[in-house]
Amino acid sequence: MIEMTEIELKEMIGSIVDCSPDQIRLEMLLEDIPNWDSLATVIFVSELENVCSFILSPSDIESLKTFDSVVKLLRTKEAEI
Amino acid sequence: MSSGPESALESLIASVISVWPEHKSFIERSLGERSEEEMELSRRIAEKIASIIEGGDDDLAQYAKDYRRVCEDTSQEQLKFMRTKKYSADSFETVNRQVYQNAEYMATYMNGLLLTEVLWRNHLGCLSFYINEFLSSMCEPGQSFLEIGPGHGLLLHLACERGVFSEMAGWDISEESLERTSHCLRILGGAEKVELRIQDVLALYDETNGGGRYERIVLSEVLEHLPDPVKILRALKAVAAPGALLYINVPVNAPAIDHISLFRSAEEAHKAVTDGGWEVVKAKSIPATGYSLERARRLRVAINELVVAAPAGE
Repeated sequence: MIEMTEIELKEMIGSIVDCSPDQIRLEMLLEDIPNWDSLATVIFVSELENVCSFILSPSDIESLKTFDSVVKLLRTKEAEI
Repeated sequence: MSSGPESALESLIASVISVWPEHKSFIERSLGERSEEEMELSRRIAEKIASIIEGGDDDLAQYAKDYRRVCEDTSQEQLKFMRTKKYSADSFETVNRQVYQNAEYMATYMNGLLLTEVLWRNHLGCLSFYINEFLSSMCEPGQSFLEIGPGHGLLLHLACERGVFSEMAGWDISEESLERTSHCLRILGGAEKVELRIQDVLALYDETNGGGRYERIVLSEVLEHLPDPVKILRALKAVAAPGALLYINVPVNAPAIDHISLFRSAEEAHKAVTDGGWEVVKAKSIPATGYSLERARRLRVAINELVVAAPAGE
């Protein structure tokens, strides 16, 4: 499993929605990120799973509300493995 | 929104948002990407959809719920596609059993899909190309017209509205789907001009090879539902008259519960057209709502590939 830093996560999101990683703040709702939509969520989940070699459950995906929640979920998954 | 009586488009949007508040931002983005000309077309199509709904059994609220169901099912398919890089349905038999022969789901599916015609920017863009580039600029008075798989019937009705075709037909393999088409034409106009029938194009291949009669043929969102898309394109060449033009709308990287054949790029779609004995005359790529063409290609997000093709070698 590859561990991702917050900066790498922001870069991943930035490349999906075509925005600068600098625009993404920790407390920010994902839906408030420019160009974010349900399709972006799906793309992000699949890229995250691919890089980190885990599968997110429907409840994991449902919990992804803010960038902070993404970081926390990632750290939980890292601790489980 | 205007302060006067609510337009059909406004009513439709309000109904969808009432059953799915989280979808509001998608709709705002979808409308925000449209030119004034496309907004005018959106209002026109919404009025037609409202008429179809008013003349049927289900009300607008039911259509809105069905639209949400279709979008959510498509989102599930999207995640499977992103994980596996392939469509989840593996055979026509499976899809036929789970979707086409499932009357309850089919009703939901077709209701939901009808609303996508105006709510999804890419679908509205396809209608714009079909009307302005194909029907208005590439169809002449007195020509014969055939649509394969007319489904909700909007494209067939719009062809009737053009008022130039001498002979018009719509073929489908599904009774239920053809009943939808018939309903649309009865409500919006064109029922008396169009011969609708159950007809499998592939079954006609041997009978009509070389003696085609149709000068303008429409094949919209059909190829991806078939296990062998090239085969139907070859069969269509046999029902095409000399000088015929074929309008194709084929989604690329567009998972759905009943999509079987995956085209990964516009080039793959064009290759199928060529392998089927046709030559691409004109093409346009329309990305999913909220995506530029470059971003849709890079992220493998749905693109509607629109092609006008002529029989190769003429």
